[in-house]
Amino acid sequence: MTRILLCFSLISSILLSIAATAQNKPAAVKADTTHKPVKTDTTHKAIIDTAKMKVPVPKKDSSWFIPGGLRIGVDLSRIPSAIYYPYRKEFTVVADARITPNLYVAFEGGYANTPYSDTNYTYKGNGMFATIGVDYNFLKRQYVSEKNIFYGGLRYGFSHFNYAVPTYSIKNSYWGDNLSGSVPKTNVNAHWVELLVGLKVEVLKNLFMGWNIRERILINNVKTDNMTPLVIPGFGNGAKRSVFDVQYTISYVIPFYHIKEHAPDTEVKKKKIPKR
Amino acid sequence: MKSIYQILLTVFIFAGIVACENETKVCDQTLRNDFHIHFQRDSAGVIRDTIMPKVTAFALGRDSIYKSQALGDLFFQLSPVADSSLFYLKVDSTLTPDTIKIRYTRQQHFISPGCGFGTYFNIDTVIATMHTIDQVIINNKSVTSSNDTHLTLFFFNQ
Repeated sequence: MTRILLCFSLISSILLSIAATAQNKPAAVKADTTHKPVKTDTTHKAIIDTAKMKVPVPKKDSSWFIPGGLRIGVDLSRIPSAIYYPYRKEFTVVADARITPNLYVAFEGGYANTPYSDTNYTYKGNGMFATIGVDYNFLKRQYVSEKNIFYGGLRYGFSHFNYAVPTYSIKNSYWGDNLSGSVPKTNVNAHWVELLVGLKVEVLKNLFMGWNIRERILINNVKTDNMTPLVIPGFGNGAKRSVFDVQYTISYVIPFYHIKEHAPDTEVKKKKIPKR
Repeated sequence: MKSIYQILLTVFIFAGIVACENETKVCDQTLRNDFHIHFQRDSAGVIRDTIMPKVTAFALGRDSIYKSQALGDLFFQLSPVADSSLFYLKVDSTLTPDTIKIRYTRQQHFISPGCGFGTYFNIDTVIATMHTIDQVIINNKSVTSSNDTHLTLFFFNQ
């Protein structure tokens, strides 16, 4: 677990440093050295430096529209996951919508089924889950309509699920006894928070592919004295308080609205006149 | 810019590998929670650990667990289907054997996805004959792991 947390923090710091270096800082405006006021007043008249006089110029409307829309997709990583973990059958829908130029409201939801059986026990579980939160884009747009994002996000997750162990057996080689039993159906609610970083890239018009890595931290306890759920739908391993996960998504944007973006209030650079 | 994408791709592949962990494939916790008995002697007020030279032990009606072995600790599996287990214990070939009856309550619980279910025992009483055993002390009533010492047997000084 420590290894996973260290890895996650390392990855996060690498990705954030990349994003940070992508931001261009505006150069500091240097003072005009060519038009200095006369220090000594010989005419007893008020001195006016005409070069420094502010001429009222009517401001142009410097705003434009950027594309917004509802992006809906599915998590493809659940397909190899279901092959590698046959007892984890999960379907996840992901969606987000742009609310400001760099801020997105994000939603995920899905259904999970957990059938498992081996020589010691059989397990049946299923449930629904949903997460809601925000994503913030750190990537500086190269052009106004660019939709690619490199983002960090925060989510709150909730799952309502049930599990049961229809049969289990405890074998004892010395006594030669096999004890069998069962655990009745139990309903459980789970709550967690998620931190994530990832990418979404427009590969075709309005079609996006992306991945993200995330750490989930369980808020409440779902274990009982006798039983621990094998899987918490949407969260992962039921025995752990925090889990690391990866998503690979394919999604489509329905561009049915636009967001107005205003030009940032930055002073126009003054041209430096070289001294003679 | 190309190298950044290569780094991000590497990060994603690495993260995918780390995220893969099938917990049903391995039993990472031991299922053994044997009843652990430790041997000691009281020599004129000084308590010392002791090793008995030829220990033979078995549950009555079952196979031998130990056969003429020099031992200072015993590990007995308690019956998961009965509320008591009766063991035969002979610590030296020349000495009279003893029997130890352990009475307990049982609780089944889920150990891990890889290990399945197991039984925890809670010791109620220990009844022993006192041929070679001087004193019986229950150290830990909860038998959830073999690492704990659950019972100490004090033997008479020969």
